[in-house]
Amino acid sequence: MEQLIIALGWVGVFAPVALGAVGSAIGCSVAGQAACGAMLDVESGYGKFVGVSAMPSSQVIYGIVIMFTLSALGVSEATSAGLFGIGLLTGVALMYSAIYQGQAVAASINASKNKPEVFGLSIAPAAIVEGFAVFAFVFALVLGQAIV
Amino acid sequence: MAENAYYTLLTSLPHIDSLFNSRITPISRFQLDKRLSMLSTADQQRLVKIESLLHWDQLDDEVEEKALIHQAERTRAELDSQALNDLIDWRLDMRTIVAALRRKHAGQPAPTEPKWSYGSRYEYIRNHWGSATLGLGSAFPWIPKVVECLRNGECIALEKILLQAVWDHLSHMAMKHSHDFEAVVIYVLRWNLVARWTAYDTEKARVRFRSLVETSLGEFRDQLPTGPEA
Repeated sequence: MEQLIIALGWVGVFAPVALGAVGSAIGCSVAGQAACGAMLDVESGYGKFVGVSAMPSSQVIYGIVIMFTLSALGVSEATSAGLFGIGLLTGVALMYSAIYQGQAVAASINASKNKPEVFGLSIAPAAIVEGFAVFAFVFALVLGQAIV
Repeated sequence: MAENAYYTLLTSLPHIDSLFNSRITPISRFQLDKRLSMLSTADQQRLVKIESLLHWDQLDDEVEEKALIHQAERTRAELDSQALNDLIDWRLDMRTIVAALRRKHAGQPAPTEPKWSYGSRYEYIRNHWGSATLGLGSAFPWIPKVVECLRNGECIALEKILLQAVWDHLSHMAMKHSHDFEAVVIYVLRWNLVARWTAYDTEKARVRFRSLVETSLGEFRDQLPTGPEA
């Protein structure tokens, strides 16, 4: 039983990176596909499409920071439950935010391709989604300190 | 390309602004077909079936109605998308309604054959033949305008009403589908509408009409008056 609890603790420590990486991969892939499509239809401005398509990669970076913070607390029988709860749920939040951010970025690329003047405004929905990922990131760090 | 090429494909297609203000199609058919080759083989086949069902210009001059009805049912059964099935039903219902209104305008009685057309409302239409709007005025709000145009012989206005109705329906559907196969179908159908509208040419129509009249007259064609006023 003790080993299972420790294992769950490690799952919690690594979940933000693993799930964040899954989400970022899907999100960047979706946004990247949209960027590639837009390049076929426009004559210039490719750089901004490629640049904005990398937006969903931030979630895996948040995951890495959370992983180091949680692992620094030490995985023991006393901390495992807290690590598992905070780590897993943060990972899920990061994964979904990255996937949906990728879709928001794809929509932004499609809109700004047809109407370049709305580029800045069209990124707003993706930026709002980023905000939710930041909430999960910051409060995971804050709450993580209460584990020990 | 990959099964899910919808994001790349749909962002690679130029935006279609409007129907009646378009002077040319936003992308040529050749380029459109090149872009559509990003779709998987199965999706391409589904798209071809939908296009061949929904566009008259894909049909031969000699059309057998029963074969067409059978083709519609087969295509509909092969699609695994409820949204596309609904779209096909709506489009075929529209054709059935217009055909019924034309027949009524010509003074013909209700069809006697139960399966006289395709779509999902042909039986209902047959049962409501006596109604001016075939009992579908609320479901298809453009019907009274079509009846009015038929009564007044306003062919161009009638064509515009029908094209606008299809355009509006596709635009409404596009709000629910942004990056999926349905969105691709909607784009292609809208492209076809623009292609059809921009291809309308008075002079070509005159030549075509004259050619049809001459074919119909056969050996009496030489008796046709000549000159631009003919």
